[in-house]
Amino acid sequence: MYKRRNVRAGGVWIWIAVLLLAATGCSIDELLKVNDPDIVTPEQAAGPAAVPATVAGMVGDFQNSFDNYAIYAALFTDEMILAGTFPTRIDVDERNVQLDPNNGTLEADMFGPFQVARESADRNLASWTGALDDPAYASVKDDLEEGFALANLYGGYVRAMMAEAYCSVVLEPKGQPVTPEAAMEEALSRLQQTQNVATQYGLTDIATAARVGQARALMYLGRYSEAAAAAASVPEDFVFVAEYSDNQSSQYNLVHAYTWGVNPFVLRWTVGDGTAGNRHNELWPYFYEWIDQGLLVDDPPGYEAVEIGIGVALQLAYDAPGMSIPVATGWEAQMDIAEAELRNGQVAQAESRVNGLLANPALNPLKAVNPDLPLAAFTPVSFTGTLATDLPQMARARASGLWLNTDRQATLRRYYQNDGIDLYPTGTQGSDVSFPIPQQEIDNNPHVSGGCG
Amino acid sequence: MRSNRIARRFGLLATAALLWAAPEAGTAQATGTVTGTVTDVASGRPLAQAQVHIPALRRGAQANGEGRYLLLNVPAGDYELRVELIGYASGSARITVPPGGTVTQSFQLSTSAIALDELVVTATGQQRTREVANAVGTLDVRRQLEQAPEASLMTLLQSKVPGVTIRQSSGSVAAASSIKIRGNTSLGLDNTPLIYVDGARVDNSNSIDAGAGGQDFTRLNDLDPDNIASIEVVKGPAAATLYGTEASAGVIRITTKRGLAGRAVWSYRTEQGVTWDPTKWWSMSWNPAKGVGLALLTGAEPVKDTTYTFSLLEGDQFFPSPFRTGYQQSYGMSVRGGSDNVTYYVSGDYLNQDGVTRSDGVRRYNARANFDAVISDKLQVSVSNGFVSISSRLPTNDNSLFSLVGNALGTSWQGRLLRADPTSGGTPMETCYLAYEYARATGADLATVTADFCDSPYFVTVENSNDKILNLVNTDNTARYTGSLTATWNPFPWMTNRATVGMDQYTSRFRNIFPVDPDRPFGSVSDGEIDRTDRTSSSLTLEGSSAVRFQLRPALTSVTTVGFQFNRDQVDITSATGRRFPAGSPSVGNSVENEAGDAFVKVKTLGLFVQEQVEWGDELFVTPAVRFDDNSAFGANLGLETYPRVGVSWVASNRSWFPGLFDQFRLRGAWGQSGKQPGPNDALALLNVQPVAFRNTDILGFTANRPGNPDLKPETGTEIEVGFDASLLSGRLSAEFTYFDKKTRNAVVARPDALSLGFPGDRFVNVGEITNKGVEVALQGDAIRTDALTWTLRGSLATLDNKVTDLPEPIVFGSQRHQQGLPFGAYYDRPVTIGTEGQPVVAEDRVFLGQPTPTREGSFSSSVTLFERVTVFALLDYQGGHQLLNGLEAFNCGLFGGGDQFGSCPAIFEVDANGNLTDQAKIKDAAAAAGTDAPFIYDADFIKLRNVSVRFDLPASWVGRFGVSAASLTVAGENLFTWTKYPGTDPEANFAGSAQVVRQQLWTLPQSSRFVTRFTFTF
Repeated sequence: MYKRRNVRAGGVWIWIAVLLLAATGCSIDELLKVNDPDIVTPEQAAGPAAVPATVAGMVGDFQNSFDNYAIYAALFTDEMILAGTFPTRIDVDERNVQLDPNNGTLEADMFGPFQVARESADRNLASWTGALDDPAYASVKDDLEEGFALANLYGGYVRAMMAEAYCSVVLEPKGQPVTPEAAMEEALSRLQQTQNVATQYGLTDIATAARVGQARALMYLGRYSEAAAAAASVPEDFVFVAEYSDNQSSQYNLVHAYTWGVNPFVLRWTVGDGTAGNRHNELWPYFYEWIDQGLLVDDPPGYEAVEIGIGVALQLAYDAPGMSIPVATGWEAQMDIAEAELRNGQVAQAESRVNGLLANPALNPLKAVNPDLPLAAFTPVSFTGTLATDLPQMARARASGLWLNTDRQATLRRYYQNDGIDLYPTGTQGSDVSFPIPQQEIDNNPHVSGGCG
Repeated sequence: MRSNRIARRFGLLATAALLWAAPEAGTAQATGTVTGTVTDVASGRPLAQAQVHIPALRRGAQANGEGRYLLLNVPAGDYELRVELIGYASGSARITVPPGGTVTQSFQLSTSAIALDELVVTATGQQRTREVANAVGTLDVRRQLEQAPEASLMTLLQSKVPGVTIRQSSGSVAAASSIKIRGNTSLGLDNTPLIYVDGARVDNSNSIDAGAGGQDFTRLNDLDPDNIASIEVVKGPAAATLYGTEASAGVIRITTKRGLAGRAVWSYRTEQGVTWDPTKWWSMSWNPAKGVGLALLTGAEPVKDTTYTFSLLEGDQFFPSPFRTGYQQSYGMSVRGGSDNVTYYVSGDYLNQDGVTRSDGVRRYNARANFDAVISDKLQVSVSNGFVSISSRLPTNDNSLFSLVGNALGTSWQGRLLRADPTSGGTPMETCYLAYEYARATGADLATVTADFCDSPYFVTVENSNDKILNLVNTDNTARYTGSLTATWNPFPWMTNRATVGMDQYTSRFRNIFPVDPDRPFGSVSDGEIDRTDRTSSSLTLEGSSAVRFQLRPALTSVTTVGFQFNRDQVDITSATGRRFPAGSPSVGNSVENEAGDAFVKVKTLGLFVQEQVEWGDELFVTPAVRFDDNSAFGANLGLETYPRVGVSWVASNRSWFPGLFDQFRLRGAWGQSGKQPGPNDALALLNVQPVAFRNTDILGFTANRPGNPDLKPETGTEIEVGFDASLLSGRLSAEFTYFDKKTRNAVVARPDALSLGFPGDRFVNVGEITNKGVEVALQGDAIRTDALTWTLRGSLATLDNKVTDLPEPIVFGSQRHQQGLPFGAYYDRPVTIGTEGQPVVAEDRVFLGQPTPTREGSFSSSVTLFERVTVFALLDYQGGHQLLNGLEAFNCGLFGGGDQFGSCPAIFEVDANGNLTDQAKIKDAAAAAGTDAPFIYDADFIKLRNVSVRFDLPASWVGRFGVSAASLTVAGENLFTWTKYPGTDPEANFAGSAQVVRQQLWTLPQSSRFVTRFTFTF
């Protein structure tokens, strides 16, 4: 009897457990639900209320890609030399970029931000297309229209910049790489669309920036007259910028952060003064003129390079972390027009246009973002009608207003490819004029088999 | 029928209520008392805390300080009475309890490392060791502390339990040590085991960023070892199944001390000790290379100069050493006692432990109040309360720009100091080492060469730089409460119900301060910077189980247990940074620039389990079980996870045919699974929320972070372990052997995907598989056991074969990586060899160069006791079969840009007897130029003299006149000597602190040595 009673009791408890299991199972999801105020999921960021923050995020993505490109382009073209020790940055400094699966610097600092910015623009463009006509979004109509225009603009600009930077370009998630020329064509299309919608919404600055971008793409493609036409209506003093902020390190202008250092005495990038050995012996071609202009200071007291023994020259164009960087400017548009004139044999006209800009610091985009710069008239150009001697002068002239804003890579690669003029730094450097698709994309994109696609 | 069922249920309830409400009513006539004493058979010493119980009734009591036990109200009848105590062979006797009478039964126990009837705490409650199918790692803390006083849980556990690897990565007393049980079970998740204190699961954060360069703060050192009674280590998935989804890295169960019935017994202890840095810094500073540095300047042949022994870390009359002798003082008082129905243990402890620099130390206040109450025959309640207030501080070291060691070793020749001209004398002037040595060697004018050479303020090379670095503040102040309430209800002799509510709550305040310094030794942060992080953590444990025992056959018993466990862990973090504040006012609010942030983490787990234990006699135990889990971090598409297990334990020595040589012999085997849940939000697609500069203002923007994975599962650990426990020669020799083979599947890995997807963050996926296999052997023997002399030897050896068996893509950490076919975190780089022409050749491909995790660990201890009064103890600790990257040498040789231009790398100038560069010099030079770590990775086997102690138990006749019943004095040394061929500072040092994968010795403070005296007395 004793045994039987206990067996029955044991069975009862097991059944109770099973029932508990079943009963609790009904509400397990509720019991285990966690509301984390610290995170945002895509579902939480949907709908009209999220539009302003989504637009801002897209702007942030573009700005992040832009200053990353600016700082690496500066290294690649010797606007800066490396004062640090990161191996893949040394590769860039030497224009001999190796695919290295063990170091993701370039993936994280350049290719990645480009793709984030492109995908951010493309994704928003797709999701907002329907929302523009949706009455539910009426309260955020202005944000939505500006976002829509900016998504087109950034989509176009990022494509153009990737075409300038890479030997082949991936334009879709895990997509088939295309040639830089094809990427430029797509950029042109996006920028034309930008003009259309920005004009429709009365967003003049965005439409104007798109015209500068179109001119940039057309210059790259060698369609100089078309570029000049696109740039013609851009006001001389027009400046469209990527904004940064002093308030948080995540918003710092990277050109400033790397060239001034997190701590002032340890710099990762510096302007080459020609005094260091090995790969660092390059001298920024306009070093002394830039000193005279107050754009840089040589050997500032208290500043050191991360790598011992490298002399430091500090750039002053972006002397605060919150300083904006010009993206599209009337200066650039005028330079494009002048170069088109030069190539078209209108030598005097081109020289006059360029020297007019060089003589007028008030139009200089660097002055626009840093009014404290003591800029004076730059040394004028003297064109001869021979591209081999005139284009190097054009490169200097462009740099006078477009220093450290990605323009030099666009210009130098264009001259190299379209004109056979190599203004890239020489000496012990490699022969790269563009970056390869990085290893992480090769490993995970079935359409990419090597650095150039 | 329905009314009958309801009536029956009401009847059951009513019966239960009666049994609860009136337990005393029927006991007056039909019950008796059981009492007696428990003593050590050799010494006659009373054995406090011995557990005496009647298994048939599931009732028991602890022996008090005099070894006396008392069981009241025992139903009259015949019973088996058992006694168990950790470290002693169990005892049993048949007793007959007369109605209204008393039976006296005393026990004398002999020591034994194998005690199959010892009670261990498991997920389903207390079980005897013989019932548990796994190796049980039990640590008798009281005995350990008698042999070697320890201030922290980590040092207490070090080298004590086979399979438990504690690695002290630094000599800073406040720094965390890494802890792993049976190897690394997860590639990307935390390998720290779960920790339970008296049934409450507690926060086990062991890598809390201290902002100190590499070493971390830890929550594992909050407990005072003197409050711990015992520690049980549940080693792997086969044993941890019923702990569920978070237990695959193992579980550590800590039981604190509890009260004993009897008069109030007061205990007092004090410890006084010293800690010092034993490192010969000059031997690894630039001085051996001084000749090299000078040669580079003067054109002379490079030579080593070992005659000049100054180091920035050792100091001279001009430049004080940053190190000091750290003092340790600790005081503790406790009282325990109580009635037969209520017992208590209350204690208070204070520890002030200084490290070897003034910015290193721990100050800790612990208080504990534990109560046990027998509410009735059927209901007992245990309450545990622990409170700690702990303040920890760490020096800035390791891979920090402001590292104390790094500054001293890295600045080499350009470190600044005051010196008189070595030739002309005169007033000391500000110069640097390079100039001073150059002037000494060449007779050049010191002022002239100072101007030439001393111009590199890289690092912090200003006079008193050590002092300025030590002014940096990295502190953690934590107030923590850990408590639990466990109720055990036995409504029937065949049923035990247990419920536990546990709570662990703390608030910690972290401060990282760069004080304002007009000398500007730290660049912009010299204008003042403060980072503060306030963290509130809360862990809730709810557990319940019900066990019913019934007899299927005369020798066949079934114990069925069902239960649940719910855990909720929540962490709230608020952080703020302020820059540029007034001198002497390090405050975020007073800063010119400031920013703030916050973070929130919450994880919930619900588990339900069923266990069936079938016992045949007291000999064979077969225990199948299963646990079902759900967790808030699982992917949305995932349902309940199931973790099964089965274990068999067979006490073969119960068989009559078993050789009489063995006192006890048990075979055991278990197979089981447990899990490891992904990070709290790993399964979710996330957006970043970050400020964006837009339209000339800062606004918040949503940007993509990472794609989600709704199918993300927990990692599943599967383990099989088999082994035996044996006791021979009347307990004089004991042996434990275990073989384990565990595999972690579905390892959660943040896997990079195509960047063109547009996500900066990686997606978490289940891809990897890791295996850990090994054996654990423990032997203990009494070489001599007489009344006058006992000499006990203990040895243990654990092997570990760890391998990543499945991983689609390597996960790279510099020159280390997880890669399929290689051990966890393997060193992997390009080797350099000498070619046929004598030239160095750097291989194009990377190869396996070693592993950071020891494949062999062992310990050997000897304990000699004379006349039960004096005990001499020594413990050697061994780890081997692994390698360590000497990052200091790699840096000095130029790999990371340190450069050899100042002579900090003598290795690349080493010449043979003929004056030719040695092969190793060529290899290291080529490696430095090519950027490979290969020649700087060394075997890191070592043997450490971890503990040496002498303990003296003062005769009762001496101390009795002061009213003291027992007193002892212990003098102990720790980390006194290391035998190793590793050429760096310390084969255990790691610049990444308690990090799981990265191991490298670079600018890390090596382990310090310690002497401590401990005086205890009881009255």
